[in-house]
Amino acid sequence: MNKKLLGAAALMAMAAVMAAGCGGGDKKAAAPAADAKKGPSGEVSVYTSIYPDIVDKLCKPNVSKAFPNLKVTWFQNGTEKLKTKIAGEIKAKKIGADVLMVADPSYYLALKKQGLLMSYKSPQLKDVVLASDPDGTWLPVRVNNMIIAYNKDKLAKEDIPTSWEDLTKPKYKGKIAMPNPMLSGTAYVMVGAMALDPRFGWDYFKKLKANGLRVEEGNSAIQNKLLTGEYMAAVILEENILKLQETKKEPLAVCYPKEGCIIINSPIGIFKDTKNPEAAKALVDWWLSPEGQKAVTAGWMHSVRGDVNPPNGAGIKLADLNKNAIKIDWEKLAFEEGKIKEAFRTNVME
Amino acid sequence: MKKSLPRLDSKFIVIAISVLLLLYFIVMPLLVLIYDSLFINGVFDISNYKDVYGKKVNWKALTNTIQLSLIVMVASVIVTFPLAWLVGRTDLPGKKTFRTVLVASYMIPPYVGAIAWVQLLNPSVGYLNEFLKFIFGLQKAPFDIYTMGGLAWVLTLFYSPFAFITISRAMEKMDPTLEEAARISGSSPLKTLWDVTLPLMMPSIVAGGLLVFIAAASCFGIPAIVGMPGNIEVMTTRIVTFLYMGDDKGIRDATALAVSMMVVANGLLMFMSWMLSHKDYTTISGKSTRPNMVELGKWKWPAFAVVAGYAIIAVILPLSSIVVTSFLVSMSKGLALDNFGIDAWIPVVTSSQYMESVWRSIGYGIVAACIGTVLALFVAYLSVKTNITGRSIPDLLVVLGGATPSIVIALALIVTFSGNYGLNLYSTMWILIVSYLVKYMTMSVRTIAASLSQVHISLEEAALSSGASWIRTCKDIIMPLVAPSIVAGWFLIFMPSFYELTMSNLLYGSDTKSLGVLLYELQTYADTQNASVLSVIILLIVLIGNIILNKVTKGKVSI
Repeated sequence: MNKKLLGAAALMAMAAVMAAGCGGGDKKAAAPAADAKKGPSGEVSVYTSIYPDIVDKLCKPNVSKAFPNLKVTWFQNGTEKLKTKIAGEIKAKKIGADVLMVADPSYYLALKKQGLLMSYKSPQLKDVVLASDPDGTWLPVRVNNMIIAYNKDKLAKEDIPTSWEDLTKPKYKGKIAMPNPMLSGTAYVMVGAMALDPRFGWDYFKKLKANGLRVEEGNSAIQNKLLTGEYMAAVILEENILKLQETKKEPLAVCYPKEGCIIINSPIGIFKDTKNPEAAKALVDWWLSPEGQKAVTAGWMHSVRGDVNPPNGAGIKLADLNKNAIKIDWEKLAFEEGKIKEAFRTNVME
Repeated sequence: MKKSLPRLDSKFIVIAISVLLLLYFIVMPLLVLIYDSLFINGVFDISNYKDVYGKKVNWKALTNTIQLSLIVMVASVIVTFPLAWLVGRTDLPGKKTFRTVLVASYMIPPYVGAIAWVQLLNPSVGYLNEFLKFIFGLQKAPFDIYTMGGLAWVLTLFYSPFAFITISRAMEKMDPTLEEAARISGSSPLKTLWDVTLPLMMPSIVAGGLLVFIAAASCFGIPAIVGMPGNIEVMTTRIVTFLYMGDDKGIRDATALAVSMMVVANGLLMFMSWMLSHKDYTTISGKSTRPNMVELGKWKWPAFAVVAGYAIIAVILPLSSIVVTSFLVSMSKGLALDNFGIDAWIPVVTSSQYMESVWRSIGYGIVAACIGTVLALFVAYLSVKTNITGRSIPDLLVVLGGATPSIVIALALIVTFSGNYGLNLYSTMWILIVSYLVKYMTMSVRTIAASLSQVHISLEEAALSSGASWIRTCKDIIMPLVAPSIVAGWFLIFMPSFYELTMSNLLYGSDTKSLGVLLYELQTYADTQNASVLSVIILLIVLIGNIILNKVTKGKVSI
């Protein structure tokens, strides 16, 4: 038995070495070509909630092209899961990330309060049209947009929703859904924003509940059930719908509600404990540059710069989105998270 | 007595090492976590318990969990006992195929299966609901998956294989002489089953039932997918909700809930083992041959129809749903001929990144299963075959790990093995493997112990008194007798480790992304159809593995 075990362990070790070897080989091959312009070197680790396919297809290749001497490791997961991972790491006093790119801006306020973020005012900020932290601990890097989506093939013209208020109408009864704010960072922002907005408040969510609102685990469950026709209309991120619309030609469409969208200016920030501040700063600069922002819009999100086009298929420009956006009290969202989530649960999920 | 001392030594060294490993990897992290739930910076503080249990929803979640797990446990035993008997002990036609099919739902990652059932039974457009509406001219959908009943249904289908594997293994190893005696004395096959087989099977039934109970209680994927849209909260969804608050208080509240969940689960376990400890269940003696087969006679084909019907509903239906989904071009268009294609297959099969995760997880699963089976064998042996004081403690430790919600294990391991207490395993493959062992070894121990408890001590004594060492006795006498349960035990660790999600999701690093994580990513962020493709690939791998195993061992061993 022991021999077998050792054998297995050895095999694993070999596999690991081989895998590592392959990775290293690629890097070496790429390095000499761009040796002339020296960039930052060493290693830097990024935790991000950008969708994994976008990380693999856009972030990884573009960043390694921009910084040939830098080894960037990407760790991708949902915002709330990353928060949990980081909470564990803070507890163990070992934060594994240098750069953080999660969706929910209020989380950065919480981290800033704990003194965990580094201040960095990127020179690129001059072209960024969205607000950033005056102390420079977080800078907006991409825009996530919570909207209402529907399936063009499954809805009659008069049934297409145009406003948040529409979702409380009887014709949608039992056929509306939203992602669970306990599990999804962007859904939490949507709940916090609307519950604190006097036009909606918790009453709006109570009405949704009375209209048979289903709370789903995440955006993907919702997009699938829109496709199959299980739901007539649902709250979801714009980027999910644009991607399906443009790449798979699915008949999903976006409704930008009359009362305004939930614009989430998702930030980028650097952890104070980083061992490679130069590289982390260079990475932030790159993300805010037109080139980095093109990777953002190629990932179906809106850019934070005024001079970059919106993602393909988007029916609206950032400036127009922003004019009409629902105001969000980030401070409240950051420091009353427990209260807001609990209120949602008792009002909607009980 | 003196002569046997050296033998005892090797036994004790081996067992002592196993116990030490268990203490370090299971008990310590959990203790660290319990300590964390009770103390803040060394000061005793249970405000988190007060907060948590000051809310009605958490009590509701607790009762929901207990209620659901009990229903699922009882339903699983009621369904699998007759199935195991029919497949293992009768001349049921096609029983080998049935065995494979019946454990196949064990090979489908539960969260993938749950999605399949949601597709089949959702109240607005579920395939099966639509079909039944059409056939019977119903106005309303007959089933709603988003209910307690729906949740219990899906959990039973996906976790009853635990009971099936445990019960059918023991059934095939049973001493037939008692049954023969009953038959000769004029008892009907059914009466024999009721009076003799059922009582003899009691330890395995309880063991299998407990596995189901624990699995159902600590499952997150199925309640998240099926329960959440129906506003049904269970302990795991509450714990995750607290964890995802992403701050210290959230973690403390989560630990408070988790610790209470551990207490309930382990209380129940202790009660069960106390109940069983009063009876002697030795049923495999040295003299017996393989159990004989019951001839079903005129019941042969009706029985076949029942088993086949169950297999179709429990396995074929959700599997087909997954396979069909993987071949759809657009999820929006449904089942039309021009909507079939391999569009979803191409990105998966051509991406090295996907296959890398598959191989990586096979590796992790094999390592975890090998280490786990060896440890499980020693723990089971110690617990059922010796009379050392405290012999059942390691067994309890293993159960403790298994009864702990995955998410809590993951958290405990992060806190403990980030270098503050000796080892630093963070972001390595070993922290994943340790988590799999902590979580899944209990199934292996239960299975092997149930089988060991039926091997009479006389066989071992005979070997020892003929001069064999204890290790040799283990190798030549005990292992062959319980070999099928060892193989079953190996697979009981390998399979769930292979596609494990909840813990891997918190523990993986950038170089150790496992299959479960990838599948979940595809399922939740990227593309459900790609996830279906990957599930089909997993299933193919497992089925091929099974066929090879079956061929190599000439049909003696399969899962």
